[in-house]
Amino acid sequence: MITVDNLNFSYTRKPFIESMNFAVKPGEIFGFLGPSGAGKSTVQKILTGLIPTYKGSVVVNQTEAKKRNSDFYEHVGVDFEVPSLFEKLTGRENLRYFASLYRHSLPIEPLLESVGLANEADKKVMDYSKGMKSRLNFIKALLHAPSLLFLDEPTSGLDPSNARVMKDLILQQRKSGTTIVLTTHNMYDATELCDRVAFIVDGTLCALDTPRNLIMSRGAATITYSYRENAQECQGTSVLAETANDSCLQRVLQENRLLSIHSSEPTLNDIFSELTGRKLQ
Amino acid sequence: MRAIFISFTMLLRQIRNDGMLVAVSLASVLAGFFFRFAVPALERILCSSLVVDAVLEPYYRLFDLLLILLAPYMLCFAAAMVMLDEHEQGLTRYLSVTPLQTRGYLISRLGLPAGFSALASMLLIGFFRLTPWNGFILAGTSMLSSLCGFSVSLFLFSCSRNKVEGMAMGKLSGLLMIGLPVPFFLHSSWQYLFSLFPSYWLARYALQGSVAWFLTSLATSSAGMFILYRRVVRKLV
Repeated sequence: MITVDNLNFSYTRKPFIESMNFAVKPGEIFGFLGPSGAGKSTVQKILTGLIPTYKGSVVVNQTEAKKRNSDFYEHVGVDFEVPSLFEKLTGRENLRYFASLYRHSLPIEPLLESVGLANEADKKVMDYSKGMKSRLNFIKALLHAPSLLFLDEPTSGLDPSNARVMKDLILQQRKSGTTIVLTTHNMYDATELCDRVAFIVDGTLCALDTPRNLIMSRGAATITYSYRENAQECQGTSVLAETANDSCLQRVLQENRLLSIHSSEPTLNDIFSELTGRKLQ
Repeated sequence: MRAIFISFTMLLRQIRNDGMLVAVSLASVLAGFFFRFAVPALERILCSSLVVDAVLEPYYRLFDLLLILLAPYMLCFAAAMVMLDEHEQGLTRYLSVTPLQTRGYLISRLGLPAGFSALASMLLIGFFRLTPWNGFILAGTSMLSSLCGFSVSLFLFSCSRNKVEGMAMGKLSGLLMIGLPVPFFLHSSWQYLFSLFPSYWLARYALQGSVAWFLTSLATSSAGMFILYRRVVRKLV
């Protein structure tokens, strides 16, 4: 679906994106994870053909990105972080207008219903809440049933309920076979949604694997427990695979003095920090 | 081509929905009425009260030129305001990743308005002219004035962050017209101080009909457009 080979790009004379290589398989959700200014959005701009002045090879849907034409965009959908809608038009008018730019488009009503906007479709977009705008913006990117979807921070600024709706919509798209490239600095979204994630820092790919493999590569999960000792509450920590060797834990279990026990697995943020020395959020 | 046409109709729709932009677009028609009917009436009053043969008449060509330049200036100003509005709403970048693409967007927002404004200039002169015009020179002058309008759009969009700033810059861009009266009033070599203004060469072309002045105006306009175009494209994405 996407093959990037030795990608280099800079806005100035100083190199920014350097020697980047990766491939995105059809039907997967591929995430770019990195802090602000790491180069995620720049890579997305290159992949979507907005920046043609790169060096190296970027093949998207069998087309070199810098040589894309209008046909290229018949199969590519983009959902930018900030909703891009005509504020003075209604939701329905917006969708009709954007659909008219494509040769083929899906019926508007089912799309509006899928995001719960069917009853609000005739309201002007300027009267929409942020969540409604984000949902409308998302289905705008689906109007022409793209085979490849680029999503930039799709849950950014949404309340938990709207973020859930958005994540379900993304998973639904994967189910229908759409390849999704997701750009985010939200590790929870990346862990939940992505089949594979790539860490980007200062324009370089630091790691690329499935979230599970990345987490496992750091080592085993740990457990933290508390117990009663001389009328006081004490705490202990043990690696999950080594609990049999933790004599303290064995003792408090046998003496029935355990007060609480919690397992904790490393998060993508921990892995990211370990690999790059930087924090995601 | 279909996407460009659809995008252009959206431009017209947005202008239609904005009272200020409707007024701006029709300003050249109002100016045409004023130049055609009020200026000769004023000339008659001035001549009879000052007891002279002509006061304004030697400058009738300048009024015609103003009218020719006004239509592209105003239409392209309106288009630039719509572009700034769309840029604020994040639409310019989004439309660049649709089949319209950046080039199609620019054709629908800058190219077509400039092209139509050249036709509007010719129509306006057809109705409201004060002096006789040779068809070729009128077509050439209208084309050059539409390029001036195109440059105004590029200037406004690239140098303004939003519509409010765009309106302020619009006043500044009126300076681009400053070259227009120069050949009428300044006959010494001082007039070449204005040689960087396409409007100066446009006025000389309209007065003398020389192809050299046409090409010089074309070259100065193109140079300005070349510099501004890259800034506009950078801002769009």
